[in-house]
Amino acid sequence: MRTNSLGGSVVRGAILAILSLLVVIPLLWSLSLAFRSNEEIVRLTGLSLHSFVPERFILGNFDRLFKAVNMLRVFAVTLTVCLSVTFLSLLINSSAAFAFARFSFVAKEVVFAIIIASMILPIEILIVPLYRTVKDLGLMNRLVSLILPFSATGFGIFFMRQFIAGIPLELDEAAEMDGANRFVVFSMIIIPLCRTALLTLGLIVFLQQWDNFLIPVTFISNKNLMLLQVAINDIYSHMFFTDTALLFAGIFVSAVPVIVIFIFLQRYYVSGIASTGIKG
Amino acid sequence: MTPLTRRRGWIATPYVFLAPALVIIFVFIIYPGVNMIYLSLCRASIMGKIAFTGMDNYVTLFTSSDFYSSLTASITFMIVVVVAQTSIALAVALIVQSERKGMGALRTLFFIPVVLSFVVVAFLWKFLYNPDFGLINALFGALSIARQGFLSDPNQALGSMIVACIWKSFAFFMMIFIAGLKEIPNELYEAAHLDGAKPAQRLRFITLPLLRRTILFVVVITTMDSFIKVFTPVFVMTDGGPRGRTDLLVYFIWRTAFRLGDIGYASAVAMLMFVFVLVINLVQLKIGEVHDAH
Repeated sequence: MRTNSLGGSVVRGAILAILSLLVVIPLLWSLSLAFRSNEEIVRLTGLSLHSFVPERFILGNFDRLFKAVNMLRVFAVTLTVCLSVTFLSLLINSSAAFAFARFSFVAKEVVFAIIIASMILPIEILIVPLYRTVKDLGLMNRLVSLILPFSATGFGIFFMRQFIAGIPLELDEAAEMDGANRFVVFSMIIIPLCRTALLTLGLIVFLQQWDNFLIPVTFISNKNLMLLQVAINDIYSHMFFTDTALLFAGIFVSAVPVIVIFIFLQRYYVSGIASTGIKG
Repeated sequence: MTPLTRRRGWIATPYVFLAPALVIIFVFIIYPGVNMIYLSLCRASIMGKIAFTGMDNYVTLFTSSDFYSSLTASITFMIVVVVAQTSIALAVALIVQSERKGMGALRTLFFIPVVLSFVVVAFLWKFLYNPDFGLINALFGALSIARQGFLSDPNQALGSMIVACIWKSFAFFMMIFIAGLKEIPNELYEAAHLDGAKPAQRLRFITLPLLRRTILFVVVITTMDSFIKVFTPVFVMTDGGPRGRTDLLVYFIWRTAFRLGDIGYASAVAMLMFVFVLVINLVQLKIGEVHDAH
């Protein structure tokens, strides 16, 4: 579709311009809120340049934010959870995938079918009985409750199995000729060859966990174990008056790292989407 | 995928690789899943008291106007998002897929809302819609349009939420469409061009038919997402209100269980929702088969 009429490209240009504005304007507006005083925010009832540029540019909201919320701890807790789930799910899913791709064993098809079937139980539906299980196991209000239930998934196993099945069997056999056992084959041959698949899956899992709100808001009430998304909501729901400036300072601090990381890892992220269709 | 048979190795080896995943999936998915069936047949409180009551919860459910209004909201939300978001994503993909200068930057720009967390996007729009100082009402004021309630207006709340959700996600599906468009051989367009086909004809006779698989994929994912992955926007933006107009099913379940403490009833709603999900999955499989037969 390379040949375009003049009219066509004008229409196209107009659509792109409008769309860009629809994306940029809300972002700019909310960005500006983080650098304004609350008095200024409530006066934003008209439209002018000052809708996007603070009249008085202040950094005080960030001071207040770090006094009101222990952001350092929030980030540390969030990273602990996200990285633990990512690491565990890569390890556990790929080792299960290895079993399915490289062994024949009793009831293999049935077990695989059950694992695939488990994919159709989304967490939003499962949350009520899962809450009871987590409570019965004594994991309430502990970070394990955010990590363990998500460290093996039908999707992850399926995704890794497809990839491992594509690795030539001769590589395993050659290593075994040299006396390697299956655990060595898995860790020294298969895992290194799965780098791209692991990176894609890892990125998907990490971002899902980063965005996770339903689970931490349901399982964790201890303020010291608040995750980032819950902390943002907490700023809002515990405001005595509408402290919009503080909320948007929190949003700024939470969103900027993600955008920066995305711009660097864009390539992997986008190829992951194209191959899986899974988003956060 | 020929498995290594004739193994001299230890017979339990595959189970060692499999065990951690199996334990987790059984304890945290299968067991709760089965437990949900039982809970849905009980009067069960979140504090722990449980008594078997048979179909009571389901009877209550089918006679509850709250449930029907929640179901209606969920289905409306789903249909509107599937149709509107898919069309927007496809239309934009057709424009920004080209390798012309600036298109890569635009794709990245459109993708920023996808990267933001749902909590962040929900708060962002909650305040854009603010009746007093929200940007949208400021804009309406400047254009001499009457101020609107948006999220606080029962007739506008669901629509307002849909706009926010599409704003967040359309670029994700745009990327999938771009990947699909890249698969279409360029020779087809060149041949069509030589035959004098107009852009609209190329779209209709080449692009859309060859993109059918991708469109189907996007529709299926969007159907699921817009039905299920909507807890956060409701929680943050409206809390299910006003007058229950945005009380989407996933939120209805959560609210019933964790605010009202009635996990038996919540499980019954979850069971019904699961049946919906199952049906969508089966339809997807069927369409996939028909598709593969072609």
